[in-house]
Amino acid sequence: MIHNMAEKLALLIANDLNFNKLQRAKVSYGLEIILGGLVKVLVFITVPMILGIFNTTIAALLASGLFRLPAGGAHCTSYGRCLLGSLVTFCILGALALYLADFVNYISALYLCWGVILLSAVVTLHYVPVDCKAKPVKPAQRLRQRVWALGTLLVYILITLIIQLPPELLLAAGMGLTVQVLTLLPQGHTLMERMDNLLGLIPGLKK
Amino acid sequence: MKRLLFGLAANLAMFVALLGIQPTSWGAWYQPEVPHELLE
Repeated sequence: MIHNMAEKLALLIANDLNFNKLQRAKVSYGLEIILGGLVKVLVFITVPMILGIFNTTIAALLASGLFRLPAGGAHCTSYGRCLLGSLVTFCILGALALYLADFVNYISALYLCWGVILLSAVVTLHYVPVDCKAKPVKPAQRLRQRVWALGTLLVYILITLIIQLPPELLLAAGMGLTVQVLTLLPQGHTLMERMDNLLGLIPGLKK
Repeated sequence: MKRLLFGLAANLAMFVALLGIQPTSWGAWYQPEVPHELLE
C-alpha cells in the first residue's frame, strides 16, 4: 500500500515537474521511506503508550533499530507484515522487560546487557552486513558497515557507563538487541520466514 | 504554489533517497526495493 501510494505520488510530481525516469525513481524511493517511516513512528508511539509500556518498548526498538542500520538482517516480504510483526514483537519485549525488572537489580541487568552487547560484537565480526536482494551492499562498503555496527555497540556500552539506566530499560535494550542479532543468523532468517508466512495468513496482509 | 510544494516534496524525497542507500537496512523489518539507478 505504501509502495503504491509513493509511486502514484511520485508520478504526479514527476509529470508536473517534467522529471525523467531516474529522478522519478529517486522521488518514489524517498517518498516510500518517508511515508513508511511516518506510519511506523505514529504506530510505535500510540500503541505502546496505550498499553502502558512506552519506555521499555522504545528502549528495545532503539537498541535494535540503531544497530540494524549498519548490520542489516532478515526481512519480511511486505510493509504490513513488517509493521504488525515488529509491533507485536517489541510490545511483548517491552512488557516482558517491565515484568522481569521486579526480579532483577541494576548490576545484574547491566551485566546482562553487556553480555548481549559482547555477543552482538562476536556475531557482527562473523556476519555483518547481512543485506537483502532489495538493497544489496557493495563489496567496498562491507567493511565500513561492519565498523559502523561495532561503533554502535561501543556507543551502547558508553551510554550504560555514563547514564545509570533503570533495570527495565537495560533489560528491554538487551532483549531488543538480542532479537536483532537473531535476525542476522541463518536460524533467524528461518524464523523470520515462518513469521512472515504466518502473518500472510491474515487477509489484509496478503502480498 | 502547487509547483513549489511539489518541488519541495521532490527535493526532500531525493535527499532521503540518497541517505536511504547508505545503511544496510532501515531500522525496520521491511526494506523498500532500491531503484537500480540509485545503486550505480
